[in-house]
Amino acid sequence: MLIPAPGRFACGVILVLELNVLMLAGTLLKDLIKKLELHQVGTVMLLSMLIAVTMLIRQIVAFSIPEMAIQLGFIMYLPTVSSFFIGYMFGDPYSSLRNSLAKNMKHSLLYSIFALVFFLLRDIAGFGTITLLTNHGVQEIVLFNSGKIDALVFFATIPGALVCTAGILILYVYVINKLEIVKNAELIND
Amino acid sequence: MAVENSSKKLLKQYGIFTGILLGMFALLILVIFFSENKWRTGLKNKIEQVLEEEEKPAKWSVGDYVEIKAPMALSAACFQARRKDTGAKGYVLMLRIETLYGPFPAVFVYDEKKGAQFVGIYGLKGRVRDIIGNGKNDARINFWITRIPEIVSKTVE
Repeated sequence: MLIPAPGRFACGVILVLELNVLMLAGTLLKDLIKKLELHQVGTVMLLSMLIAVTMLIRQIVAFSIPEMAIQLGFIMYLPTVSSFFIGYMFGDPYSSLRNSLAKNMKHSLLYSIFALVFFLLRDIAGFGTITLLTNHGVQEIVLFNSGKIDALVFFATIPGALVCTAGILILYVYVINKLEIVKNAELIND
Repeated sequence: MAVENSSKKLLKQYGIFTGILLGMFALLILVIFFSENKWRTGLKNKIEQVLEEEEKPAKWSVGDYVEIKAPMALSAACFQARRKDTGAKGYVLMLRIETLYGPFPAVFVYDEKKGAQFVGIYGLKGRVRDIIGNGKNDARINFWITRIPEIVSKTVE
């Protein structure tokens, strides 16, 4: 979802919203399937409904921000088939609705923050702009024109997105490890 | 009795499954039906905006939506167009083009004499737009320039 999408903040907002709507709809639907005991057709129903929800979101984007629907194209289907999302839909079948909602939405929101930072960084550093969603569609604010730190254009490219993801992941693991050390030290002190 | 109960249960399960699925797809069809005009007018406005910004002032006036008989429905849109100076008939298209910087909605004009020409990209200013320039050195833009006559030939006015 992060790599093939254009590194614009406005695109990131749409994809992140889609992911959260899908997570909410999927979790509720999974619970409905469990309550109605639709075990035999459960998987087919869940997948069909998730595809239908994706198509509905895409159609809403098509009439509210038509240029975005053209730009994103098949990328709008990527959150639905991403391993991140599928993992939550087919894992832990015994959890209650309340617990599933709390866990799935928390993880989805945390991932959303990561994704939004990623899109914002690429937009500012790579494109030299900030793109925002307004009532009139996508609004673009140019921060840096040509000639100013042009080498950073690399981050606007697809290979640049890969490098950027790796960089953020390294930083994330580093911070998590440091927090773990602090937590362990506090436990020992207690 | 046990078989009858099992059949009833299965029937109920599949009934609910079909009902929910049909309901969802009915909603989808309704949204598609009612959003079609808004999609067309929205795109027309965006294309006019690109023409105005890139041609300064726009040389083409955008007319009615033209349907493309191809499976790429949401990745392209075509409108009739007329040159403001000569009144010559042509087409203006917004296509999803893949670039090194990801996909973008690009605007092209087409007339039978000059063929297809790249105009600009909606919502792309700044240094990446400067790098793409007039698109003459971009293989992906040139690919679409050669494909546009074929796309226009598949339109239904």
